[in-house]
Amino acid sequence: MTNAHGSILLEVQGLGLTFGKGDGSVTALDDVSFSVASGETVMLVGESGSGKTTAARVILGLETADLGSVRIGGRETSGLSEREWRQVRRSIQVVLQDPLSQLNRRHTVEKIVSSPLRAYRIGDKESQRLRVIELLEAVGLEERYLTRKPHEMSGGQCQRVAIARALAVEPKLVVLDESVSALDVSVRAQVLNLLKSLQSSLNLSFLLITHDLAVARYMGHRTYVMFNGRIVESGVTETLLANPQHPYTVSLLESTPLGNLRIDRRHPADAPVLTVPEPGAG
Amino acid sequence: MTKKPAVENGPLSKPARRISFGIIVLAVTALTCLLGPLLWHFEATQIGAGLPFLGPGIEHPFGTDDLGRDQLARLMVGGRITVIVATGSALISILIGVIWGVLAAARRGWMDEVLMRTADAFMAIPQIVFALVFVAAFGSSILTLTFIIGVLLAPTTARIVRSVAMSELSADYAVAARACGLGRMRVMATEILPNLLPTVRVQATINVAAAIILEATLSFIGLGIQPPDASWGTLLLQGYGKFYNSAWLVLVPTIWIVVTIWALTATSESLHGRSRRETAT
Amino acid sequence: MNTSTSDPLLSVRDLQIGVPLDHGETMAVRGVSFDLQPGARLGLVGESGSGKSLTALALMRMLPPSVRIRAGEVMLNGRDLMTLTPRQMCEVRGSEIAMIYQNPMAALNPVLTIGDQLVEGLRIHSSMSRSTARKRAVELLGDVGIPDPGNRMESHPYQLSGGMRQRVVIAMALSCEPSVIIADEPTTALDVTTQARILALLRQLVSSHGTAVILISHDLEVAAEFCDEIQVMYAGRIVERSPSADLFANPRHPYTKALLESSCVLTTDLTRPIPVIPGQPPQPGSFPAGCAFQARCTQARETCIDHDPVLEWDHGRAVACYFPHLEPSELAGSVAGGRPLDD
Repeated sequence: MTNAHGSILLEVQGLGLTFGKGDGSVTALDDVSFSVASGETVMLVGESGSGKTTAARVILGLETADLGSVRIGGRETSGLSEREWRQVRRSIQVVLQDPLSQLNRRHTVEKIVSSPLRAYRIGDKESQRLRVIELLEAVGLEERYLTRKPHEMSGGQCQRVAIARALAVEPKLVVLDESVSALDVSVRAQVLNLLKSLQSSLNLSFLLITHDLAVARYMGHRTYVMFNGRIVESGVTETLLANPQHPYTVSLLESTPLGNLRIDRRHPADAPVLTVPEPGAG
Repeated sequence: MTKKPAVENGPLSKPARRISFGIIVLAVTALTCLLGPLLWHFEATQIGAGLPFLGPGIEHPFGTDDLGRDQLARLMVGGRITVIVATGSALISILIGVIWGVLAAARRGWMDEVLMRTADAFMAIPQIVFALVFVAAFGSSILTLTFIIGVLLAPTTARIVRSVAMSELSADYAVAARACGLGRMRVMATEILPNLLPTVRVQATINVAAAIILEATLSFIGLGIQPPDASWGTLLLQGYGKFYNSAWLVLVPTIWIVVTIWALTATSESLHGRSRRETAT
Repeated sequence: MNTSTSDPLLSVRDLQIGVPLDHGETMAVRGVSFDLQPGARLGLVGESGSGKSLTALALMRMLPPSVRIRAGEVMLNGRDLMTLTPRQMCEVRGSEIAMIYQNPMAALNPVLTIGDQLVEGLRIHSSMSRSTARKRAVELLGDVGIPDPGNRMESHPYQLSGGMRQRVVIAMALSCEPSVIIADEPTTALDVTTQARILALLRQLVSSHGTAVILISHDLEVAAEFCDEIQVMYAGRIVERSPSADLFANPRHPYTKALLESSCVLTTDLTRPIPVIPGQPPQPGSFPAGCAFQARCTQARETCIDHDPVLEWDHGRAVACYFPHLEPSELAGSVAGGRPLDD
């Protein structure tokens, strides 16, 4: 785990957003602040209604906040024009949750992965193709996948394609919105390993949004726990999970099913053993 | 005692591609109307080709009219015009409708309001009334008629295109494309439009059917195709007056219109089924 | 088969289900057999393509039109459900065997009040009067922990949260006192905190009613929280069956072992990459010949490619593998799979 985290890539301060007016209004975000430095993985953990997806949408410029500021690479993003957002988006890309629906069902893998390259007019057709092959290799897919369409691939393969697309324009930060939640257990492990290795080889930063504490623990250097639009607890992931302060964090931890881990389960002697309180009665 | 699942011994699933019977009928009709007159030995305008008011027979498969003209020949020549007007106007309606619907979906805000309320206005007034006004203003040559019918069918198409485009715009792949840096226009062109194709295919077929009915109706009331050109609608008009002499003069064009509409509907159903299978995960 | 002191409540034998392919059909469930004891909690766990959901739907005879049961018998309360007429099956559904669905919003009718939906189910399967049924419905809502049940009867599904809706679905499933409940991923669509509460509720209710439950899940940990015994499915077959604790402590089938090792859980080792099973779970139509897992198994041998292992029982645990993992203490006096170890 690297400690050499450099410049702040993403800085969110006091984000506030309310949908609707009056009685029917919903506060999606309430004074949300967090940051992501280069080379680190930051987790946004929460359940439905916590505001984590809304926060992601604001960061990506898909939604406008009422209050607060978002700085990407030091640049304030509120009030940017479409043209200016284009420049910013080159450094921050996204991978969504559903492997199949985030890829255009009528496009081949080559077209999907090269689409950011074409949008930013990077290289000519030939060099774009080579770059796509290079990207596919980086995510563990062979060249023959170039002509496949999304429905011809498995969930894990689709997600790898989405990751390849996100890496096409060499971003510094990738936002992953529940990107492993819809995958089979054995496939999830593959993608998590892939993300970790990409982080170290490409010096990427990740903002990983999830409801799964086990994934947060495995992936994240720092974690922010969100509940009802606010950040209720934050800190270095291991510390936070070993010693949760906020009652909501505690209840999240207690609700995470452990299976029969109360019973002795063999694991390598040097693995950090997490003492988790007994799951409550319900 | 043999134990068999009670109800499940059904047929194994049919192969995915079935040529729709409707398409065959359409192809046959179109070919007959376009090439038939060159091969058939009677001319449509040939007066006295046979005795007047003959019923269907070997000489004249669809009988003859009051002037002894062969009905089959007239049907084929009339069919040409009907086919041209119907396909032409369907194409125009798709062109206008897609641009209309896509603009409304992409722009939202006031442009969406303006475009959609205009569509509503169009749709609130009966098509025939609109058609009458346009014909009175612009005449009823084949070209003008094609254009008028195309414009009349555009609002419904626009509505449907807009709603499909809007739902596609909120789909994950479009959101991901925007977030990855694609501009609005590029997203619309490269991501959304291809996914509109299934809907457009189905709508085009429906529009052809609607155009046939509109054209036939206009011609029937004398405001559509004018003599010496003939379409199935004008055949109906002319046969209508001589109904008591020979019912076939009315029945034959009617049956052909019904069969063609049915074939178009069957085709649109099978296209719709195919597009559902395409998008099923 | 497993020796047990009492007759099984539900007995499935050689269930085979076919799904349509581009041309023709392929078998997605290939000979599933198991018993369910009264009051037992059995988990059916597998990844995509394992056939677990199809198996569950087949028990209710509620498969989609293009999916066909090609063979098998399902004995419930002395009758083979596969031989019943549609009408008879309707009577069975709800009163003898009920289902809890993954998506509570889809399981509830959005235009009817939840009171109406509960009452409807009650009156179909019994001769209750409307007022008796309404009283019973209020009781049921209270049992599943819905606050102010009397007034909640008049609510529509959209007015309730996901967790509350699922409680209503559970109430509906229990309303006619079925002997078996099939819960198909009942908590997948819910938040983790809600999931814990719903599972606890279900556990408490089924034990007080004595209902047997089959829990379908892709999540081994969730299944282990709830079930006494777990069956692991792979490529349309059951590959292992064990009491939950034993399954986690000493998984026998290589797939189960690998699945447990590749699960990202709170105790996963952070210092190295998660051990993965190479490739992905096979889908119907591409099941390998022989043992379906051999392509991804670290210890596959000739035998595995040529022959298909059968589920073999041993002291309350079953595994379908020629070379299952056995603890040293278990090796003495037990036969590995169906063939001698030194084959």
